[in-house]
Amino acid sequence: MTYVINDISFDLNDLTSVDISAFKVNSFADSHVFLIFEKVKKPFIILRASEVITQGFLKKYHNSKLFVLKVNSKKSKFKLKSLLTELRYAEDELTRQEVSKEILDTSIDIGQSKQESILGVCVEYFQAFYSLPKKYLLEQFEQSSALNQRSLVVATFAVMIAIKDKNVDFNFLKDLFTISFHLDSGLYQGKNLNHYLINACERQRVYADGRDYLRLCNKSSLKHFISHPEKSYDFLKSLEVFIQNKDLIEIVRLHHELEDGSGFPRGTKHQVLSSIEEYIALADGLVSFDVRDFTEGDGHIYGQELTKLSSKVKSYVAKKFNFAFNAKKEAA
Amino acid sequence: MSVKILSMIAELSDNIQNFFSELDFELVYNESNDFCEYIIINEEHDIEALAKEYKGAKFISLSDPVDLEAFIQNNGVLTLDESILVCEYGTNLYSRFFQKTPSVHFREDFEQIYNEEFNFKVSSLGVTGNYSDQVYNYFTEKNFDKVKSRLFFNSLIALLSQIEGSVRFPVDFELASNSESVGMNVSFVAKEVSSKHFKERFITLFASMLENTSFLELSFISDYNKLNLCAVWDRKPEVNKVFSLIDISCVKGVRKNLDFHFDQKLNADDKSEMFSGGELESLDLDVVAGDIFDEDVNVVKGNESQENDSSQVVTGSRENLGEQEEVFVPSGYLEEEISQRISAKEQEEEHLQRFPELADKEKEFVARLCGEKQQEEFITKISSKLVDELKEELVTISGSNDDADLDKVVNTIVSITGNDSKESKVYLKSLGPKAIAKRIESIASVNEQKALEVKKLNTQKREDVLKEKVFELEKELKKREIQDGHQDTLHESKLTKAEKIIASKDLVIEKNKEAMENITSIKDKKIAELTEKIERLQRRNTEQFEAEPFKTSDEVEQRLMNKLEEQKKQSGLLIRQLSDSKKEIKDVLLKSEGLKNHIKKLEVTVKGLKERNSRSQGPSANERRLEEGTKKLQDALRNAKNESVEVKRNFMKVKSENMALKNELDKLKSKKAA
Repeated sequence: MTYVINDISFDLNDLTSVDISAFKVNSFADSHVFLIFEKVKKPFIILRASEVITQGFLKKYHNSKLFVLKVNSKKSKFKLKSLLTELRYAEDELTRQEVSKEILDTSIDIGQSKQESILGVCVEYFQAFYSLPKKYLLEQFEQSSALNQRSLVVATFAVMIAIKDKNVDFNFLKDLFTISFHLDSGLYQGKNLNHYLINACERQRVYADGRDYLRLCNKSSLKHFISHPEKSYDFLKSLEVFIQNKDLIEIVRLHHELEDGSGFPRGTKHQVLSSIEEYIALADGLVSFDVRDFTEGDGHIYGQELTKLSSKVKSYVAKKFNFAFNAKKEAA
Repeated sequence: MSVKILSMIAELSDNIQNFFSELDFELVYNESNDFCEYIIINEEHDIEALAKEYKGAKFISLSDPVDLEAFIQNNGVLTLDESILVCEYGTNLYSRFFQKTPSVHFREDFEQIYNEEFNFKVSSLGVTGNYSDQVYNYFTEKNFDKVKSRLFFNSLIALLSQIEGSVRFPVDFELASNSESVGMNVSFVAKEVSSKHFKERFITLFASMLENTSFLELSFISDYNKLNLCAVWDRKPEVNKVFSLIDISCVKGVRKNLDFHFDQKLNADDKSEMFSGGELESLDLDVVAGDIFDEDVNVVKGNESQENDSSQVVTGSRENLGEQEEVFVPSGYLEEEISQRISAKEQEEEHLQRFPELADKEKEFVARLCGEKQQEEFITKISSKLVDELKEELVTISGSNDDADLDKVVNTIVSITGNDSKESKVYLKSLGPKAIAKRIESIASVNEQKALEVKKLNTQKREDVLKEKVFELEKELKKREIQDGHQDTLHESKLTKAEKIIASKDLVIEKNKEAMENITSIKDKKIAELTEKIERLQRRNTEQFEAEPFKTSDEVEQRLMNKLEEQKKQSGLLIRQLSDSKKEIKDVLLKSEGLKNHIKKLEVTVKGLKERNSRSQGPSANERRLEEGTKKLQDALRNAKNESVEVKRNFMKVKSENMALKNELDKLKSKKAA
């Protein structure tokens, strides 16, 4: 019998029993986790892939029989993991160049595969690059699990774009991942996160009119919206001890700037934004704010995402992201 | 106003003249009183003497400067070589210099000139050896002077190592080439490095870099602490060594300030105060005092040549007119830079002057923000008020020179605008009655136009909002239609009564499962609420205990102990009740499961019965029995659910209280021990 829960379709035979000790606390789940009630013989989803495994979760289900639905194969994940480790310990620039190229190719292969989910790449990147203490991750998760999920994908894409642009330094990629993961942290600070803000972010991403939307619907959130890059910057600046290249935090301020200078908060034009400063802006433009469950073959979604963007934003994003997920084809 | 260039050379070539005319620059050959931004000289001229004479002017040399250091120190910024000016990259780079539009994206800017490209990022000075080799190889492949490239790269690394502490890595390198030339662009963020700093410390390095290139452009974008080096190697070896220095502070902060500025106003609690205060009056005053600013700017530009100085003087006059507006600066955001600027309005104007193409956008933006009904009314009110109050005075003073009448009008303007500073009064008087009369008329017409524009925008905006709403409603309607359609099909499908009952039984069973899920979610919520309560209680108790530390601690301890025991008893009872209710739920679930099986069995018999009693009206005995059974089951389920929820709630409450009491007791004990 085939079950469909939140767009995740599966058969009972697809589920594999797993011991609670297999879950690492304060990390992202790389599979959907289910409980099966013996009486009714129906599975209930208790943790989605990409959600954070908390101490509470482990405590609650330590006596239960859990089942997982894997969205990535062990083989691809292992390959990516070993490549990332190789990059971390690479001793010369040539090896770094070679390994990073392979990392990018493997990531794209996973993203384009119909049997794999992009989550596999995200989780491996997170484990390799995220450098802040996990409590900040939990803080963000408590505010919005959807925002956390999005941050994971945005940070992954930022690093992929950076690698494509020949950035091979592990520490740089690590800082970039951490910074891009928290680029919208300013949104939920002061517990001001509301659906108007999320809608505004989404509108800003697609139509570049987030501010106009808030002026029309919820003026009280406008100030918070405009200042969120600054707040994210302040947040990361307070944790700069965990970031190696501290000057890099500056790029968070520019993540809502647009090519023609119509972005905010500074209205900076493309001509003075170097490619390094554009990575997170581009990745941010590619990932939707909708909650989406990770399933097999979801890589193409991000290619399709390009088609939704208004021409103003699309040209900017497509320029640097055409290498992945058949984006060029999809955008055309 | 076009930029003026004073040429110290009598005859400039046609190519150079055409180039400047295309840029809409004015070439002047005789000395005039007007300020000239650039002065063209050659090796014969004494730059030091000229620099003293023309303070603030930038010098362009038509030949290689004899003493490069002296040339740069005396504000020399460019060497203009005709042979390079006519080639593709030269035209681009020279235009970039005169238009002050440096870019960190070399490949994009020179896309049409260069076809092959190569880029890399230097993440630290420790890995430059590898990239030096790559650059060398690139030049070898393209058959250009590889030694020069190596020497240039080494000088560049030396520069980077000297400012390493302030450089943000990775440094961005871009190379591109065609058959005639190779271009290399290096951009990076370097704090504390300015053109002044550069002139003081790095001229020698710059000279050695220039020696190994054909064209070297160095741009400082001070707002972003960016330094951009663009070098070009020409295949012709005989070309002069050309350099350009661009030092600009790029557009910044304006949009942000606009946003905050208006946002602040919109959020103001007292809207009447907000609109009666300064917004439009200051706008009016802008119109009235418009000339004084222009005059100041002209005067300053005539005497003082430096842009910065002129802006300071202009700022001063603005301050005197009492036009200061506070800029909202979020914490940690370029406070130093912003504090250097005096007002938000100035930034807006500066921004619009620099980027005239954005002026329309900004106006539209402001107009949209002004699109409030109140503001719309206010504009009309102010314009009518001004015209009404000054109507008589207008008539009298427009034909006379009487000072008393003039004073009256000036006072009226001052009372309306709320700006009674001496400077503005003196200025208004200096304008004379006719000018004031004209000015007032222009204000009225400007305000009328504004009101019309705002009305138009508002109608458009409302239409847009309505359209959006209609669209949303249509969407909603469609959704509902689809849902209704589904329901109708369910209702209209000719299900027999027995089938309906079976469907309802399935629903009951589904509900059971849902109920379980609900119970878990309610439980989680309750836990969260109770944790909050505990925290609150703990806080309250600690406060109480701090207020009376040891006075009644024994009594409190005793009381707490008693309470704890009572609570323990209660919790024991509750636990028992909870387990009972759990058992009941399990029974009900089992019953429902059994019933489902029973229903399935009955299904067959019901079908048989249905066939038999197809003509008979009303439900059969079996069906009635089933209906009754369902009702009973539903009641039992509801009761069980309610009981279990209540019991759980009580249990959690008691548990939380227990915890609170325990904590208090522990604290007391620790305090006592201390």
